[in-house]
Amino acid sequence: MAENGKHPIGGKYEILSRLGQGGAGQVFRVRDLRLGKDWTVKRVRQDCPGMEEQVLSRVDGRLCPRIVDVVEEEGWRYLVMDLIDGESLEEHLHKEGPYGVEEALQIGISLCDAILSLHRMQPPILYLDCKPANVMVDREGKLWLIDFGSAVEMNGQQAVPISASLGYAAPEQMQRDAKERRVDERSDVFGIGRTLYAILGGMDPARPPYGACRLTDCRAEVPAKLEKIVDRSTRKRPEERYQTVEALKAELAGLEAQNDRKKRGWALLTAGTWFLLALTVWQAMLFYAKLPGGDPASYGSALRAFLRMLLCALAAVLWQRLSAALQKGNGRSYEPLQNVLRTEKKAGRWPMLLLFFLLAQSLFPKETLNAYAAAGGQAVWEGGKEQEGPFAGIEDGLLSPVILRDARMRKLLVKKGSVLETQEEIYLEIAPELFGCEEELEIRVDAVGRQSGRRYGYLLRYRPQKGEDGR
Amino acid sequence: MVLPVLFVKKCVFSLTRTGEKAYNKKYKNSRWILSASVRSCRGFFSVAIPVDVVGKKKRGRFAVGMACPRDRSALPGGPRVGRRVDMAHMTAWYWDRGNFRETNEDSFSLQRVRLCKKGVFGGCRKDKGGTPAALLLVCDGIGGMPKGEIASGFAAERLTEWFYGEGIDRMRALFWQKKTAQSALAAFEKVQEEIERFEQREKVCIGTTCTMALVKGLGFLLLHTGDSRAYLIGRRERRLTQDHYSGGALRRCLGAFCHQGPDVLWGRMGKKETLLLCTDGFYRALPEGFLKGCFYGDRQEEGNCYKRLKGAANFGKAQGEKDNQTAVLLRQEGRGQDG
Repeated sequence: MAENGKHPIGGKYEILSRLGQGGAGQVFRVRDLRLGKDWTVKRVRQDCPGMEEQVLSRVDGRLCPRIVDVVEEEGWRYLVMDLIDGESLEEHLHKEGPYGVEEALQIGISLCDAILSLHRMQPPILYLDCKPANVMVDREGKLWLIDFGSAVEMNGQQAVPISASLGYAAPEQMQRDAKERRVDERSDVFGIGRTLYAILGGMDPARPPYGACRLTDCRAEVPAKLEKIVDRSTRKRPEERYQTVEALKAELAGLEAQNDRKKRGWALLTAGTWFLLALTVWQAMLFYAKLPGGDPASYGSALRAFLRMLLCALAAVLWQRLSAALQKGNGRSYEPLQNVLRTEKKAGRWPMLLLFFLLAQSLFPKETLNAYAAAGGQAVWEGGKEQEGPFAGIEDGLLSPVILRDARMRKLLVKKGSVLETQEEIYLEIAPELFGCEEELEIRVDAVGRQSGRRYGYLLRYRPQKGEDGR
Repeated sequence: MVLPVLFVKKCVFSLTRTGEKAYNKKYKNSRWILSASVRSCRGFFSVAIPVDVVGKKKRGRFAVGMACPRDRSALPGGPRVGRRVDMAHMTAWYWDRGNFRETNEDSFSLQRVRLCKKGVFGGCRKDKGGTPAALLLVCDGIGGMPKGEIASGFAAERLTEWFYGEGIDRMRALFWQKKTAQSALAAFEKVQEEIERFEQREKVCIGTTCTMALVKGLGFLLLHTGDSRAYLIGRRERRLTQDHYSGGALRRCLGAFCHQGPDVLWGRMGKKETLLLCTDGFYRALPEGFLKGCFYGDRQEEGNCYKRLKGAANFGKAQGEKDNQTAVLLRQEGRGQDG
C-alpha cells in the first residue's frame, strides 16, 4: 500500500500528507515526481460502487477539481485531481464560528450555481452530498465542490442514491427500503438548505439538536425571510420544498437585493425621525425664549409645547426600538446551553446495521452448526466448528438466534450469568433459515445440573423443507 | 418592573446596614438602608431607600425588586434588589464500557437549555434570566443478534430529537408536566413502532431499557421502562423507579416483545437535592446509602460531581461489576452563572 512516501503511487506520485477522510476513502496531498506539482489524490477500493471519475471527467473544471489521472494498484484505486488551496466551510466554522448573513447568502447563491450546472448536463447529475465539509473556498474566494463519491446520473425523472451523509441527506435518500429510495433535484435543494442552516447557525445537523432548533432561536441576527427560505428547502416532503435549485437561487438572490434596499430605507427613516425630534426641541426652545414672566396663559402654552415635545421624543424612541426589533426577527425562545449524546451506535443508523447483518450472514459457511444453551439461557454458537463438550468456546461466540419463550410463547430476555427461575416449560426457538443449509441437520441440546453435575442431552435431526427458506 | 400588590399579607419595615457589594455602585457610599418588604399572594416585594442617617433621605433614588415566593434574598438586608434570582442546573455524567465488555451498549443524552423570556418587542431578555430546562436520558441495550448499542443509541437519538422538536415547546407552559408527559408517551410509542418495524424487516431481536427525566426549574417529569434507575438524593436516598425485572427476566423495555407503556411520575426537587439516572451496571454493586454519601452535602462543584461518579463506578468495578456503567446527574444551584 502506497503511503507516507514509502512507495510512490503508480511510481509517479509521492505522498506528502493526509488531508482527510471521506465517506468512501482517504484523501492525500501528493507531489508529481515528474512535473514537481502538487495534486490531491483520493484513495478508494477498486470494488467501491460509484462513478466519481466518470462524473468528474464530465464536469466543468470551474466548479470542481479536474481529474487528471487514475491509478489502480494493490486493490486500491487512486484518483488524482487538482489541489485546491483553501479551506472548507467546515474548517472555517470550527475556526471562526458561523458565517454572517451576507456571506452565507453569497455562498448559498454560488452553491446553487454550481449544482445547477450539474443538473443542466445531459444526462443530469445529482450531487447528493452537499455539506460544509464538501465545499471549499480558495484564497480568491471562489467556491469549489469536492467529493463526488455520492453523485449519480439521473436517468428519467429520478435516480437511486448510493450513499448518504447523516444530517445533510434528504429523507428520501435515507430510506431504509431500497424500493422507496429515490432522489431527484429536490434532494439537492435539501442539501443546500441544510448547508445554509449549518453555516448560519454554526450547528451540525447530525448532532443534537439535529436541526430542530430554528435559526432565529439560535441566532437572532438571521432575518425571518432567510429562515423561511432555509425552512422550506429542508422540508421532509419533497413536494413542499422548492422544486428546482433555480427557484431556490432566485429566492436567495431576491433576498440579497432586498437586504440592500432595506438597509438604505431604515437608515433614512431613522435619520428622519431624529430630525423631527431635533426640530421639535428647537421649536420648543424658541417658544420658551419668547415667554414673558408670570403670564398664566403662557404657562399653559408652554406646558402644551412641552407635552408635544415629550410625545415626539417617546414616539421616536418607540419607533426606533420597533424597527430594530423587526429587523432582528422573531428572537429566541430558548438558548441551548449544553448538549451531550454518547452512544457506540454508528452513525447512519439502519443502513449500517443492514450491512453488519449481511456481513454476518456471509461469515458462516454451509456446514453443520452447533448450538449450545449456556447457563442462564443465552445461547452461543460457533459457525462451522466442532466443539468438544457443551460449553467449549462459548465465551467469544456470537449471540445466536436461539430465542427463549415461556409457556405462553412470550419471549424472554435473560441476563447473561443470571438464573431464570421458572416452574413452567421453556421453549427454545431456532430459526431454520439462518442455517442456510440444504442437508439434514443434527441439533444437540445439552444441559448440565449446576449442583449435581448431571448431564442431560437431547438430539434431534432437522431437515429443511422446500419453501421453508423462501425457495 | 413593579406589579400591583394584591392581598397584602405582611409588611415589614427595617433599617439595615449593608456592605458595598450588596448593592450596585450607585449606593456604595450608603451605610444605612431603609427597606420595606411586602408579602402578598404574588410573592415578596421589597423597596430599599438608601439613607444617610435614620430619618433623613440622602438620595431620591430607590430600587424595587420582585422575588420568587420562596426566595428570601429580597427580604430586608438582602442583596439583588432590582434583579431576579437565577436558578441554574449543574450536571455531570459518566459513561464507561467497563473492563470486560467489548462495546458499550449503554447510551445516554444530556441536553440543557434556557427557556428565555421574550421582551416587549420580541428578542430574548438575556439580562432577565430565564428558566433552565434539561433532558436526562439513559438507555441500556439488551439481548439480540445485533449489538445492543443499536437499540439504545436509536432510542437516545430519537428521544433527543423529540426534546428539541416538541418537548421544549411543551415545557414552556405553566403547568407543563401533564402535556409534556402525553407528548413524551407518544414519542415512546413511535420509537417502539420503529424498532418493531426494523425487527420484522431484519428478523432480529433487539431491545433497550429507557429512563428519561425532563427537568424544568425545580420540577421534574420521569418516564421509565426497564431496569435502569432514577434516584433523588437529598437527606435520604430515594429510588424513584421500580425495576421491571422479575424471576431473572426483564419484563418491560422498549422493543418488540416486552413493551408496555413506561411508568410516568412527576415531582419536585429540593435545592440541594441531586437527580441521578443510571444503568444497572452502575448501581448494582453499590450498597444502600452509598449514593447519599457521595452526592448529598454542601455546595458541590461540577468537577467534584464527576469525580464522585467515577469513584462510585470504580467502587462497583472493585466489587466485580463487569457490565457497562452509565450515570447522569443534575443538581440545582440556587443562584449564579450557568456553566
